[in-house]
Amino acid sequence: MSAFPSWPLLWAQAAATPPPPLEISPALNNALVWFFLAGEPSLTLSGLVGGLLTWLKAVGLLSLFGWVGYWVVTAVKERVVGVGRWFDYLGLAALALIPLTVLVQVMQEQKWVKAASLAGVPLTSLMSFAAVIFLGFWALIGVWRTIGRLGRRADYLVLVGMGLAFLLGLGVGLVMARVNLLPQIIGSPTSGWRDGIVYGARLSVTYMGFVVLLRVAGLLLGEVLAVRGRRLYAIARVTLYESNRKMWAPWVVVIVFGMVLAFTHWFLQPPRAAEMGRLYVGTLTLLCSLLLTSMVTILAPISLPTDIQQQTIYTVVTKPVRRLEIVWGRMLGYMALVTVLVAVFGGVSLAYLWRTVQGQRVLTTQAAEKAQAEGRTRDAAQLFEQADQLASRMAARVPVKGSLSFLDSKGNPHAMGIDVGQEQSMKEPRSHIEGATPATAIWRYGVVPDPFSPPNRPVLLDRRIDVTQFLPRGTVEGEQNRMFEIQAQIAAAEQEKSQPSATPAQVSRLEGAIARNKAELERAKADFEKLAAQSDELKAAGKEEEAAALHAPLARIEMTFNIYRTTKGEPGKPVYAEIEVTNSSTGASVADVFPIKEYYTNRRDIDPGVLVGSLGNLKIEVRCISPTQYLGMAESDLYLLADNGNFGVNYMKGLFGIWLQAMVLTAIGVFAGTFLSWPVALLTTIAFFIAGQLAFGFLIDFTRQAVLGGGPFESLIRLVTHDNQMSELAPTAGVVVAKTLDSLVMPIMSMLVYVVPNFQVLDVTNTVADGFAVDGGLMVSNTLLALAYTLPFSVAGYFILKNREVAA
Amino acid sequence: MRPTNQTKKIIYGLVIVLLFSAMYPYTQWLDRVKDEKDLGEAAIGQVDSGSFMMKLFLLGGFRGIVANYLWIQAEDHKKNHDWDRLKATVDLITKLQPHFLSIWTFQGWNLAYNVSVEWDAPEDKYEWIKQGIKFVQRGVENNQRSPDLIWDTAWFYYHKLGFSDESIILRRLFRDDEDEDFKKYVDPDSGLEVVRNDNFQLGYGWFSRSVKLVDDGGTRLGGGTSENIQYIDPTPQRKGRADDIAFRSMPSHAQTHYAAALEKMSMAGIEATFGEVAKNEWTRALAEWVKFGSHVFQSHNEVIRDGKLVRDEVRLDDATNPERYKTLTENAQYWTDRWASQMNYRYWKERCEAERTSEGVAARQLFYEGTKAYKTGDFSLAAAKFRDGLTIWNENLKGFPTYREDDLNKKDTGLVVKRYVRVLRQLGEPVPDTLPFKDLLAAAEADNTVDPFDAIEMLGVGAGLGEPSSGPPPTTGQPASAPAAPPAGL
Repeated sequence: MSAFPSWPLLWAQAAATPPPPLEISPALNNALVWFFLAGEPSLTLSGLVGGLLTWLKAVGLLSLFGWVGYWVVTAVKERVVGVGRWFDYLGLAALALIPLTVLVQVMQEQKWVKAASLAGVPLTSLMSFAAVIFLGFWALIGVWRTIGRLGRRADYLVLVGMGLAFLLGLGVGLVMARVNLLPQIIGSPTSGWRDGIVYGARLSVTYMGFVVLLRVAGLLLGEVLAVRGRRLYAIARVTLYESNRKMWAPWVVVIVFGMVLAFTHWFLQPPRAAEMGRLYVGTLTLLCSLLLTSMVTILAPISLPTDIQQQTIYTVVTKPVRRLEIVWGRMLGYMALVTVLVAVFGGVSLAYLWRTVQGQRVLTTQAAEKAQAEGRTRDAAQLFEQADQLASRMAARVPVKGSLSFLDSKGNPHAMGIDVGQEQSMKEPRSHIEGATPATAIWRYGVVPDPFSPPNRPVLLDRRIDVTQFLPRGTVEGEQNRMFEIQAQIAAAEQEKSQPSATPAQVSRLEGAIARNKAELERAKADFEKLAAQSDELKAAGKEEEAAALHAPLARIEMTFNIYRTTKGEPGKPVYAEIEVTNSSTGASVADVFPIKEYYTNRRDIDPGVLVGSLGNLKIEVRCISPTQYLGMAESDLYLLADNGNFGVNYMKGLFGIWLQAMVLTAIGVFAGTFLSWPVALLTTIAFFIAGQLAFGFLIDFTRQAVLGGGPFESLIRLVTHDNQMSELAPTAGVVVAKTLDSLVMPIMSMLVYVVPNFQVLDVTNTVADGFAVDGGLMVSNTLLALAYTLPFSVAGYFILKNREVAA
Repeated sequence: MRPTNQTKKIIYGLVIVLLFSAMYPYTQWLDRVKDEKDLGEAAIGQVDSGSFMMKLFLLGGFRGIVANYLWIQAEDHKKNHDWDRLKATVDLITKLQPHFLSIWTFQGWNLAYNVSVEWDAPEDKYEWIKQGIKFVQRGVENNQRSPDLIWDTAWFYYHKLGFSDESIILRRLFRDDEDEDFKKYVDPDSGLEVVRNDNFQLGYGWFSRSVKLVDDGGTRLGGGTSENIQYIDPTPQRKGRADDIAFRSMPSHAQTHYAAALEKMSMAGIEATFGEVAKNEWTRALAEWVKFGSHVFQSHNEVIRDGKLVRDEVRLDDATNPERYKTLTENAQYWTDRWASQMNYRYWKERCEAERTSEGVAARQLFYEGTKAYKTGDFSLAAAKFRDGLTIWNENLKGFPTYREDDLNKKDTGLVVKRYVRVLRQLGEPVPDTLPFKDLLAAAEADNTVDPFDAIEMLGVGAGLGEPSSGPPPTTGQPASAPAAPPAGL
C-alpha cells in the first residue's frame, strides 16, 4: 500500500491530546463541510450533482497535472532547471527520497527493520513529507522562472491563484481540525493540527486544480467561440471521404456484417424457441458493437499521424482553421459515419430479427395448434408457452416495481426470505418462502420504508404507481379514480387550512383551490356516472365487448419465480402460488391461485378496479400453497406491466449505447493521434478499450487495493515460484523489492480508473434482449457519462495539437 | 540503379506465383500423409464449415485462449442460471474444438442431467434432455470413430429418459415428439434407418451401434496413427474395451426394458400392449441376451497349458448350459460363474424365457386388467382377473426356478397377491388355501413402495392423459371485491 494515502492515520496515531474544540456558528460549520466536500477527492454526493462534482475534481486535477507538467517540461527544455543549480539538488533528493520512503515502509511492514519515529512522528511520514516539499519547491522555482521568461500575465495570475488555493486548503484543514469537525468526518477518534495539515494539503491540491481548470476554461472559451460550423463541416466531410476512399472502412464493416448474418446458422445453433429472440438480439448487438468499436478504434488514431507524416496536414493548417476544429471536425466525421452505420445495422438487424424470430413464433404457434388438434395437450401447452415467451422478449416492457419484504413461516416480518443454499452469484439473489405456511412475499407500492433500513430509522422509498397509466381518463375506472384523487386533494387542503399557523393569504388560496376541486369533482362524478350507466346498458343488451371498451384494460402482473422442491411430489404436478392484490386505501382486493412455471414469465391479469382510489399505494402478496415446496423470488421478479412498448425503438436505443461507446473511443483515438505515431496511437486506443470494456472491474479492485496476490511485481514472483494468491511470501530481498515497486506503481495504476471510461455501463443491450424498455433517464445519464469522457479527451487533444509543431 | 515501382511489382508478383506453385506439391504430399496417418478432418468425423471458418478466423493459435475464455463464461452462465446462453456458449466451444471428446461428454451430460434438473416442469426437463442428446449426437457426427460418444447418446436415451422420477411423463413426451430425426436409429439387424416411439428402443439402437463399432475395430483414431504419434494428453477411450462386460450387456438391457415397459402403463396415458407384440419383443430380448452370452471374453488371468501361458475363453451363456459348463476347465468355470453372477445373467435370460411364453404374456395382461379393476373399485372383476392370472403365472414359473426365486419377481408378484387378498376381503370371500405365491404375502404387506415407472400406480387409472403442468389451478380465483363506497359527501 502506498504511504501517501496512509498519512492521515499515521499522523492521527502520533497526535497528542487535542485541545478542547471551539464552538462555531452553524453557517460556518456548513460552509466548512461544503469546502471539504468540494476539495476532498475521495468524497462525493449521490446523484447528478455528485457526479458533476467528481468530474470537476478529476478534470481539475488532470488539468493541474497537465499545466504543471507542461511548465516543468518547458523549464527543463529551456534549461531553467536541471542545470546543476542548488535547487536542482532538492529535486534530485526528492526523486531519491520517494522510492526510499516506500522501501523503508515495506521493510517495516515485512519486519526487516523496526518502525522508527522522530518526536512522535513516524520516520516514513517525515521522509515522504520532505520528498513532497522538496519536489514542490523545485517545481515551483522551475515554473516561476519559466513563466517569468516565457509566460504571460494570465500565467502569473494562475500561479498566484494556486498560492491562494494552497493557503485556503491548509486553512480549511486546520480550522476543521481545530473545531473538531475533521474527526467526525474521517471517523478517527482523535485528530490534531497535523491531520489538519495533511487533509488541508489534499484539499489545496484540488483547489489548485480548480484554479488551473478556470484558466483552461478561459483559454478554451475563446477557441470555442471562434469555432464555425462550415469549417467543422468541411473537415468532417474530408474525414468521411478519407475513411471511405482510403480505408474503405464502411464497406468492410457492412460486408462483414452481411457475411455473418448470412451464415448465422454456422455459428449459432438454433436455440429453444422461448429464448431465441433473446439470444439473437444479444448476438446481433454484440456483432454491431464489435464491428463499430473496432472500426473507430482503427480509424480514429491513424488518421492524424499519417496526415502529419505525409505532410498532407499542410493543406489544412495553412488555411484559417482552428486547431479545435481539426479535432472536433474529425470526431464529427467519424461519428457521422458511425451514425449511418448504426442506422443501417439497426434496420438490417431488425428486418433479420423480424424474419427469423417472428417466423419462429409463427411456426411455434402453428406447431402448438397442431399438437392441440391431435390431442397432445402437454406438447400444445408447452409450445404455446414458448411462443408467448418469445413474444414477451420481443417487446419493450415497462415494469413498475415495488419494494419487496417477507413474512417468515411464523408470520414475522423480515427483509429477506429463506436461503435454500443455492449458489448466489446472481446479480439479485433470490430468497424463498415455504409452502402452506403464513410465509409471504410482499411487494409494497407507495412511499414505503426500505426493508433493509433499521425499523427505528426507516429510509423511505418512493415506489408510487402512476395510476393513470393503468386507469386512463375516459374510462369508468379512470373517472372513478379521479374522484378519489380530487377528494384526497380537497381533504389535504382542508387539513392545511385548519392548521393554526396558516396565514390569511394561504387560507384564501386554499379555499379557492377547494372550490375549484369541488367543481372538478362534480364533473368527474357526472362523467363516471354517465360511463357506468352506458356500460351497464351495453351489458344488459348483451354487447359485452362494447361495454368492456368503456372500462380500463385489465392490469397485468408479470412474475418469474423459481421453485425449490424438498420432495418430488406427484410427477408432473406443478407448484401453486396464491397472489393477493390489496388496495389499502379502499380495502379492495383481488386474489388468484395459479401454477408456477419456472424460468418462464408467469402472467396474471387482474381487475383494474382494484387500483381505483389507491393514490399510488398497493400491496401485492404472494404465498406458496404447495406444502413442503419453496418459492424463490427477488424484488425484480414481480412487477406491474405499464406498457409493452415498441421493440424496434428499444432496439435502436440499445444501439445508441453502442454509438456512445464509439463516440468515447473516437475522442480517445483522435486524442492519441495528436501526439503519438500511428502504431502507438492505435495500441493506446486498443488498450483504453480493453481496459474499459473487459478490465474495468479489475481497475476498481485496484483503487480499493483489493487485488488478491498483490500488484504486478508481487504477482510475477508468485507466478514464477508457483505460490498461490493467498499464501504469505517470505520476506526475501526479492519480495521486498517487488513490494516496493508495487507500492510505487499501484497508486498510479489505480488512478487509471478515473481516466479509463467504463464502456460496459454504456452498453444496455442486455436490457433490450431481455425485452425491457431502456429507461429514458438511464439514456440521459449514459450520454452525460460519455460526454464527461469525450470532452476532456478532445480538449486535451486540442491543447496538445495547439502546442505541437505539426509541420515539423 | 534503383528498381522502379513497376519492376518491384513484377518481382513481388513472381514471388507470389512461385510460392503458390511450391505450395501445390507440398499440399499434395501433406494430404497423402494425412490419409496415411488417418489424420484428416474427414477421417475423424464430418467436416463442419462453421467450425472451419471459426478456426480460420481465430488463426489457430488463439483458439485455445478463446476456448478457455468460453469455458469460464459457460460456467458463469451456469451459476447465473442463464441456461440458453450456456448452451450457446458450449456450442461455440465445440466449433473451436470439435474433436475434443471431453467437451461433448462433459457438456452433453451437463445439459441432459444438470440443466434439465433445474427446470420444474417435465416438458422443460424433456426439452433440455433432448438438447443434451442432440448435443452428443453432433459430437458423434464430428467423431464418428468414437464408441464413447455413441454410448453416451444411448445412455441418455435409455437412462435419463427411462429412469427419471418423471419418466412416465418424459417417455410420453418422447412418444409424442414430432421430431423424427430425434427418434431415428440404424437397426443393427437390417442396417436400415428406423423411427421408433420408445426411448428404450432408441437406447437399444444406439447401444448396438456402439458395440458394433467396437466389434468392427473402431477406436478413437484408426490406422497407424497411434503408433506414429504420441499424444501429450490423449483422450482415453472409456467404453468398449475388450473386457468391458457391462458395455456389451447394454443392448440386451435396453431391449428387456422395452419389452417390460410394453406390459404396463409406462407412458402416462398410453395403455399397455400384450399379445404377439409383447411376445415378440421378449423373444428379441432373449436373443439379445443369448448373443451377449455367446460373446467370447478372455479370462483375466493366464494359466499354463501345454507349456504356454494362455487365457481361457469365457462365454457367460455357459453358466445356463450345464453340459457345456461341465466341459470347461476349472479356470474357465470360475470366470464364467463369476461374471454371470456379476451380470445376473441367469436371471435376465430366464426372465426373458418366462415372459415370452403365451402364458407369461397372458398372466401379465390379467394382472394389468386386474389392477385397473382394483383401482377403479370393480372388485369382482379384479378378483377374477387376479385369480386367473396368478394360476397361469404359477404354472408358467414352474419351469423357471431362478426367476421365480428372484427378489424382483417376488416383489412384483407379491403385490398382485396382496391386492388379490384385499379384494377378497372386500368381497367377504375367504382366502383360498391353495392360493399360489401365498408365501409372498407377508413381505408384500410390509412393503408400501410402488413402481415409479407405472403411471397407473403413480397417477391412477386414466390419469396422466396429458394434463399439462400449467393447467387449471385447483381453486378458481376469487372475483374482485368492489372498492369500498366513496367517502360520504359525494
